[in-house]
Amino acid sequence: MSSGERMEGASASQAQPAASNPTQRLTDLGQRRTYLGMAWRRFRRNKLAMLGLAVLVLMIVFALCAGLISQYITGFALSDQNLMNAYQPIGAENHLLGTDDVGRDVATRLAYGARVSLGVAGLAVLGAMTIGVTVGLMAGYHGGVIDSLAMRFVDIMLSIPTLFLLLLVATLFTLNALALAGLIAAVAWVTLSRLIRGEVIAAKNRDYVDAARVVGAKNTRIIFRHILPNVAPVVIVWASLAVPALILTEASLSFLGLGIQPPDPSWGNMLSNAQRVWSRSTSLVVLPGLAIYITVFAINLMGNGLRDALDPRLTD
Amino acid sequence: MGPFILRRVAQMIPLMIGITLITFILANAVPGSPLSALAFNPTISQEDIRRMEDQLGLNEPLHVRYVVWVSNLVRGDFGLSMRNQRPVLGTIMDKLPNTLILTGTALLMSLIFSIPVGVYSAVRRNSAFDNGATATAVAGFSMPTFWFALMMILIFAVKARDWGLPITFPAAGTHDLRGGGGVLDRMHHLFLPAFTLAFVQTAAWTRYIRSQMIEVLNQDYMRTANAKGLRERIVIFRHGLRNAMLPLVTLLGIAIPDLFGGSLIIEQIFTWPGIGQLAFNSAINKDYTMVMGIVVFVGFLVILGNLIADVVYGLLDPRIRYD
Repeated sequence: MSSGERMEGASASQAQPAASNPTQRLTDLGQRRTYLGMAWRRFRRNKLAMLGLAVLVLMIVFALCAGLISQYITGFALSDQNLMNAYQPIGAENHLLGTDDVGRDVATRLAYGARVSLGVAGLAVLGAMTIGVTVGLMAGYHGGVIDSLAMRFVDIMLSIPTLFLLLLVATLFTLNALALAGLIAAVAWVTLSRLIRGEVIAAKNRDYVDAARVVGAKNTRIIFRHILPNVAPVVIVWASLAVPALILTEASLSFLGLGIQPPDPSWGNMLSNAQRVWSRSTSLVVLPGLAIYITVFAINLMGNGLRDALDPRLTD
Repeated sequence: MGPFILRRVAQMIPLMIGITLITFILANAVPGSPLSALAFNPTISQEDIRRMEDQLGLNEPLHVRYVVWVSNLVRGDFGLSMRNQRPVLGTIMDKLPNTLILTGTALLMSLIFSIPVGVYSAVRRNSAFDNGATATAVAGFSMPTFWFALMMILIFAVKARDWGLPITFPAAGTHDLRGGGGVLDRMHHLFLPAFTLAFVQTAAWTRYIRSQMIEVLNQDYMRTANAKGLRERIVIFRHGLRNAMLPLVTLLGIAIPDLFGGSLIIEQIFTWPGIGQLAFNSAINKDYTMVMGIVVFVGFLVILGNLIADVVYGLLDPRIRYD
């Protein structure tokens, strides 16, 4: 426990000299020890995870403020071109991170790219969570035919390498950002649903579920009020580790030219664009990849911290 | 063992049906016919298109077309490429060895590195080494493969020459086209793509081996071995590692999809003529039959890999009983 909390406890006991001190302090401690409070305390102690969280928050701010950055800091719009001013190096006048092959401001485009990368991955995770949790809860709780069908389907999806499946779909359809997020979600939910199913099967035989049933709770109530909160940590940890993975998926697809289409910037398609001209400029290749790497690294650090904090059992 | 293998093979069948079904449904969800590109070609008349549709069976109902397609697949007839009319399966088979060499080398490289690191991390748990390895592992699997590949090319193929480093690596192809093709030359070309693919996988393997090893270290027989007074090296390697390696066999089966997925990008960047590059080029060229064939084929390889892994696991571990 940090020294700050001990001091807090001490000042509390000073403020109430009349109360019997030891007992009072014990109940104080007991009240503050909620599950989330303890998890947050464990998380806060993990410096790397806190660093990851800080970087992620910065990236989100960077992405959300893309418009403001373009207007007030870089002074260039997303697609302002100037062929006379192409291939400016990092730190050039007016262009903090240089310009690309048609003279567009790289910093501005990175900010808008962050919006796409984080947005698509975030939406995809939300979608995958919705499907995965629903299927996992249903399959695990009801068992039987629903379970067999769902899990055979999961087996099938796991047998086709994700990228090949995405390649097949991207061949057939041209996708905008929203459709891309949906597509990635449609592939990503399977691992979560299997995870949830296992947790639910373990949870549904616990005493508290029997107790709930004895007092007459209906299935929906048992699933959503008793089982779901107990599998929530698994979902949160999965999501925090899925976001970086899906950022990489989106970036891979966009890099291959099958995801976000130019001129809309995404970190992935900025990189593939830079690859064509990299004999002219190295920084164009380095910067978008570095942005992806830093973001993914930060969220992974945070996710690991979250896993340790939320459920020590999940640590290997 | 015999009945077990039979049952596992029987389980493969619904999986295979599922894969073909998904592939088929997706391919047929596209608006328009595969021949619609020909509609505006002035040298091809409407009658010709209608005759081609008949020949290709495009006028049959969906379920009939699915059954025809699958029964052809079963007989090894994956159809013809829509791009160059060459047999799909033959083209895949031409490219398969290159992909297997690349993924196999990458797997070997990451195991050579991750087994010692994973074992040492587990034995010296929570030491500086272990924490360092954990942090490095997170750094490793956060790496975008394609960016790492570009950085490798930038450093070892482009800048190394500028900087005058003694070692440079070729960034494309499987061998030198100017009369090369010797084993050394091929290995020289293989190194960069295999290393890149291995780098990203190594992190995950290190974590797996570490956690397996930690589990084994807590077993009773490990305490017995220690109590007998065996040397630490023998305890760790003969009693520990051998048991920790068993689940690795299953993991190898599970890792196949990741390896193929990773090699798709690596092959594209290093112009390595394997299945991944074939899949990508076919996708760009809208060669539906080829892409469908590759998805089904890779799915089949994955299922087969898992089957072999399960059977080998059963053979290696006498504690596993299949009744």
